[in-house]
Amino acid sequence: MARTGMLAENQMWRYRLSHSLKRFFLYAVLIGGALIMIAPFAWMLSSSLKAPHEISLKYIKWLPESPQWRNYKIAWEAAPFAMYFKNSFFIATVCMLIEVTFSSLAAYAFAKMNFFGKNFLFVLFLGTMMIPGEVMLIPNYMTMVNVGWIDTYYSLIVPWTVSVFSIFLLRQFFMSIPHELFEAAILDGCGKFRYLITVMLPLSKPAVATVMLFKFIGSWNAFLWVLIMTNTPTMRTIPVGLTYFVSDVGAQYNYLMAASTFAMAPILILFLLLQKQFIQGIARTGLKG
Amino acid sequence: MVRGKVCSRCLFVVDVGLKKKEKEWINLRWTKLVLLALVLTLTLSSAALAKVNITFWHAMGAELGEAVDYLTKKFNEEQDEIFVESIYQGRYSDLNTKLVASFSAGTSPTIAQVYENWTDAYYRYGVIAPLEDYMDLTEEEYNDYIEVFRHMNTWDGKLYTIPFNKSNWVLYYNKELIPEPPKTLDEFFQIAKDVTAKTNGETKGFGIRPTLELFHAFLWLNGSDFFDADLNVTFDGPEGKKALQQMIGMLEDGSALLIDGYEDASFGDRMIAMYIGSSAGITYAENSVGGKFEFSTAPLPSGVRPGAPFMGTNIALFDAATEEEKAAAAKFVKWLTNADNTVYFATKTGYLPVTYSGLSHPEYQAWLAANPHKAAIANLEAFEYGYWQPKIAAWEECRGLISEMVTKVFLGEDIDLSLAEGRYQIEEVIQEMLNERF
Repeated sequence: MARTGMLAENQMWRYRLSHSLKRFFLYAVLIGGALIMIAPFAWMLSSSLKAPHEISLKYIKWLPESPQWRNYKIAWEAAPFAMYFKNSFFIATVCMLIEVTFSSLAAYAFAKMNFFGKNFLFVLFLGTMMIPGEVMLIPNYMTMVNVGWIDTYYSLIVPWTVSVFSIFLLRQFFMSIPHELFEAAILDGCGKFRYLITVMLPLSKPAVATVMLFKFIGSWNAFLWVLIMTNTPTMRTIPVGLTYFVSDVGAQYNYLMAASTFAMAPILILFLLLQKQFIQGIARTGLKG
Repeated sequence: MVRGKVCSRCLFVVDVGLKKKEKEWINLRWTKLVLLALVLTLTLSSAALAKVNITFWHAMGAELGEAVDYLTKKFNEEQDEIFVESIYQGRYSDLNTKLVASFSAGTSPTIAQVYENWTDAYYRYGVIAPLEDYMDLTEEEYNDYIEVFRHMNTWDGKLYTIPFNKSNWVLYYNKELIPEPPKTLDEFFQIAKDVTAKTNGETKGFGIRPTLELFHAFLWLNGSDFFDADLNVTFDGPEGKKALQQMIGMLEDGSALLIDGYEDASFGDRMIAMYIGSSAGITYAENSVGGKFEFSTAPLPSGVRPGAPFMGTNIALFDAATEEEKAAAAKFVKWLTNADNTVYFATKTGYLPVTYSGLSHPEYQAWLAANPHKAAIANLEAFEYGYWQPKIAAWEECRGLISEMVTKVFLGEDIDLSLAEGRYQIEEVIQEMLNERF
């Protein structure tokens, strides 16, 4: 008895050691990874408070000698950022809402309905993802000119309200929801559209949140398209404002970092709000790299 | 006018059976009406005619943009025939993309900032109009534009474009470590070594960013260029090889530091004591140095010949504009480059005045005197040794290829091999351009 007891204790001890060692390495790796991920942000924040001569030094200086809070004021006033923020918010929100509507409808059809040429259409959709955006820039610009949408919100919103990637993402997620649920609902007299609204979408919150976040970030960061489609400052968005600090012969990094900080703040807040769903969405649709 | 016609018809109808007095009265009223209508149409149409609207696309952000906006506003206030709208279109590459898109869509602006190689491409597409034809320049005015800039802006013997924000490349040096700047390349190499030795390698003598511009400088100072007059590739000759060897040599003997990013930061942090950079970047250098030490600028040291690289953009007029708009734009450009305004722009931004009268303007001379570290920027001698990047449509593509070649050499690839490969690629691009496949 005593012998076996000792053995068990020994084993237990061994198990505990290996367990805590494993944990130790796991945390070490995770903390290391987190530090690497957070370093650029920390650099951005600290640089946004530096005097110009403190930025690119041989050794990174993490704390400015005396924080230059006025960098934020100067950066804010360098371009009409208040207007840019208003535009970015409006465009990103509208794009996001319309896209999520269209994508969920299309994905629903591809996932749960049967119609002639479904697979062919789906492959065709996916095929359009292979065309690089740069190639379509000038043809799209000419379309916008011919429609008369240059310098309007239409040109900034309408072409971006359908995304094959979102349709694909949602379709994969919808397909993972058991078909029996669909049949049961139909048997109980639920219409197809009602099923989408009351069953499918609530079950797919993670994927929907992912699609929304991707769209919002994409729209928020869009630069070249906005610049090409607009001529008046009143129609432009935040990324255009960020170019003010960079020229071909130098950059004002402290102001650029201050502007980047307030430019990304809304995205950060949105991410924190949607974080739980977002991570589930990535993990469950098998998109995790 | 329409009302006048209706009235005359009415008059004809009512003419019969009216008393003379009444007739006279109506006649009077009729004449008055016609006169009134005439005056109205004239004023209305002249009001519409009075303002010619032109658009000016540029790539000047932040303070540079403010200087452009200030001048545009001043022009708009000084006269009431022309209204200029200046529009910021992002960085230079964005501006070029937008211009190319606008040609196909027929939405090009009246005028825009352009590099010489863009001008050559636009000239080949046939989308620009020669500004000189609309400017009514007297011989004196024509000759007032600095000669180097005139060369850079001439196609077909005409000033197709007008120089606007021009800069030259100068040697920035730390005055604490280098009291007297080098005059020749040999002196330059020696000083770089001395500084490195004196500071025990804490501060390297020179900062090398493997750019096309730096290669061009060494190539030129060694007596060669990218192409000869007939666009035959010449950068792969012995001078090109020597240029690359000199740069690599400085890294090998430790007298230079390889830099990634803008040089002014390393300069301000005392990592390097000299670098070659654009005069337009002097405010960045001032910021990076932040008063920690005194610095100044000097012309590039001479090799087998002296050299002063000139860069920056010019203003082009687009052919899609109406004759009226073209004339208005020409007036604006002429005004923008007059002595007072070119000096205003130069002192606000660090670019050069584009005319001799601007250079000798008392205000500009006073500004230079107050900023002795900027003196090399407007060094009159430099204008005689000026050189510039090839003004050919294919340059954008060549630039990329040559930059790649230089980077490869700095990553350790064999110099002869890289030059041969570079030559082969560039010849192909030039041939394509000459075959007008653009």
